Amino acid sequence: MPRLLNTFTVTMVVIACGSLPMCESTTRAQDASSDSVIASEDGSKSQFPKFAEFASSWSDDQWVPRSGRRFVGHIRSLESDQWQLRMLALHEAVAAGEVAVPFLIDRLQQGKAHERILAAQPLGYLAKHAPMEPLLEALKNDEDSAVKLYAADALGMRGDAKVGERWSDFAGKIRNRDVRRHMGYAEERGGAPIEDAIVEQLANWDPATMNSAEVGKPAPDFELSTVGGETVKLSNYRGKKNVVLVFIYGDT
Amino acid sequence: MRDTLKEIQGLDAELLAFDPHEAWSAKYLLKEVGFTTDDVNYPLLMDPALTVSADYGVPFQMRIHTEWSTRPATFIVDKEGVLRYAKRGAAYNDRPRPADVVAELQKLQADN
Repeated sequence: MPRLLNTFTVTMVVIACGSLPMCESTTRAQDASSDSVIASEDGSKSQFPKFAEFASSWSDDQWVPRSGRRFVGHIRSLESDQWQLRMLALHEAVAAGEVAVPFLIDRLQQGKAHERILAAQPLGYLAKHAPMEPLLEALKNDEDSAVKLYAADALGMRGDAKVGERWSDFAGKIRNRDVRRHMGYAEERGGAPIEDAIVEQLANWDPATMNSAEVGKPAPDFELSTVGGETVKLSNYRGKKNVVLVFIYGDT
Repeated sequence: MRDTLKEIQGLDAELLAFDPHEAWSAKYLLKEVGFTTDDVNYPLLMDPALTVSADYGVPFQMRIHTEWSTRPATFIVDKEGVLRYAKRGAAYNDRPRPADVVAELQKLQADN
C-alpha cells in the first residue's frame, strides 16, 4: 500500500498509543474539546485518540453517487483510502477500551458530524462502559441520522432489556426509516449485550493486515461464526476445496 | 442463485457469504421476510467486528440510506489457500455474473 504510506504514518503516530501499556492505566479526558488529548494519571501524555485529527483527515469527499429509480446510495471510489482511516479509528478506540469512553462521549456531544459518527460507533462495542443518557440524547436530538443510527445500536448493545421504554417518549417522532429499524433491532436483542468475543476480535485485530488480500498471495485467514452458530475457518478448506467469498452489503 | 450454488459446489468449491452485522440482526431480517436461519442454504458468516472485511479491503465503502457498509466484492481462494480472483465492486450492483465465477472455478480445475 505504498500510496497510503503517508496517511498511515501520520495516522499510526496519532493513534499508536492504543497498544501501549501506559494507555491502559487509569486515564481521563483532558481538554478534549481543544486538542483531544487523553492523558494518563502518571502524567505521560498520550496522543490517543486524536479524533479531531481523524475527523479533519477523514474527509467524506470521495463518494460516487449512484441513483436509480427506487434507490439512492453512494459508494466510495475504488481509489479512496478513507475507509481505512475509519477502520483505524474504530479499532483504536475499541482497543483502548473503557478509557476512551469519556472522550468518545465528549466528541458525541461536542463534535462536528463526522466526529459524532466516528464516536458513536465505537461506543457500541464499548457499550458495557457507556452511559445511557448521552446516547439517548444523541438518538433523540442529533441532526445527523447516522449518529442517531449508531446511537440506537449502542443503546441496544449495552444489553438493556428495557431499551424500548427508555426512548418511548420520543420514539414516535423519529422519522428516518433506517434509524427506526435499528431501534427495532435494539429491542429485538431482548437485553443481550454485545458479545465479548466480538469486542476482543476488533480490539486484538492487527491493522497491519488491513487490505492485505492480494491476488497471487495467500488469502488472509479468518475464523467466523455463521448465522447458525457454526465456526468456519478458511484454512480448514486447504487441500480440500476452493472457496468463493462473497461480501454482501448489509442494507441496514 | 440456488442453481449457481449447486454448480459452484459441483466444481469442488464452497461458497461463503459475509454479513457485517451480529447474528441476531440477520435472524431479525430473515424473520421479517418469513424465513429462519435453517433456510439459508450456504454458510452466512457474521463479521460484526469488521476485521475480515477490513483484511479483504471492503468495509465502510457503501453508504446505503444511513449506514456505512461493505462494498460488494467476490474473491476466490484456491485449495492451496492462495487468492486467485478478486473483484471489488465499483458500484452497488457491480458484481461478477454467476457465470464468471463458474468460469474462474473451471479455470482453477483446469490448472490442477
